[in-house]
Amino acid sequence: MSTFDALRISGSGMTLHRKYLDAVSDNIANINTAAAPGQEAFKERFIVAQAVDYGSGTGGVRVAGAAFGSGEGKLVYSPDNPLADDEGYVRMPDIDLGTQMTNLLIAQRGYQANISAISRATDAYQAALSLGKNL
Amino acid sequence: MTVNPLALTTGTGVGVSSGYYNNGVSNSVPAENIAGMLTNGVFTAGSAGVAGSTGATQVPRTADGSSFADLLSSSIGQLQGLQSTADTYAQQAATGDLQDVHDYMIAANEAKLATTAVVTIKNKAVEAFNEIMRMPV
Repeated sequence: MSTFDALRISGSGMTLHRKYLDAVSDNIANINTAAAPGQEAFKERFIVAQAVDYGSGTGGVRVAGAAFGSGEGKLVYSPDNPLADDEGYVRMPDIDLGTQMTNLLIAQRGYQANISAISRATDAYQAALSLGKNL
Repeated sequence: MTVNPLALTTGTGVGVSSGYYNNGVSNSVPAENIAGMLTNGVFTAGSAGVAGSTGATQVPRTADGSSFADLLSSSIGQLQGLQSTADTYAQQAATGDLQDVHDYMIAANEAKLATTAVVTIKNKAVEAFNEIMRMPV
C-alpha cells in the first residue's frame, strides 16, 4: 500500500479491461474462422477476473487467466469451402456477434470508468497538496 | 523582571537570561546551541524549552522513532523509486515493449504527485525553520 493507492487500483482495472477488449477483439476477429468438421472450431475467449484483497494486498483486480468456450462450434453447410467434408459441411465457431458487441461496450465503458476514477483521484490528491501551498 | 518564555536558560555560553532587552547581557546565542540545532534539530538547543511546557525537549519523533530528517530522506528515496519506475516505462514505450499505455501514464502521474507532495512538505519545513530563525530572541 502506498500514498496514491487509488491510481494503482484503477490501473489494475484498466489492465483487466484492456485484456477484456483483447479477448472480445479476438472473438470478433475469428468469428468467420472455419475449420474442417473433424477439427475443433475456434473457442470463444473469456477473461477470468479476480479481486485482490485490499486489506492484505494492494487492492484492485487481477487477471487470473483466460477461459475458453466450447470447441464444438456449429456445422454449416458450405460446399464451396475447401475445408468442407464430403457432405459439404464446415465447422464454424459458435460465437454470437451481438453478444460480442455488447461485451465490447462493457469493456470499453469499464476502461473509461477506471480512467474517470484515476482522474478524480488525481484531482483530489492535488487539492490535498494545494493545502500545503497557500496556507 | 518578566520571564521571557523563549529565553535560553542553559548552555555554557552567555545566553539571554530574561527579558526582551536586557542591558548588559549579550544577546548572542551560544555557539554550542547553534551546532546543536544543526545536528539534533531545533528543539534540543537549550533545555529550557517553552516555559510551562510539559518538558518537550526532544526532537519530535514518530511512533517508530524516526525524526523529520529520516522521514524526508526516506520520502526522497521512495520518490527516486517512483521516478525510475516511470523512466523504465518511458524506455519501454520508446522501444515498443510497453504492454499497457496506462501503466506509463499512471506511473508518471504518481511520480508527479509524489514529487509535489515531497516538495510541498520540504517547503513548509523550510518556511517553519525560517519563521523560527526570524524570531527576535
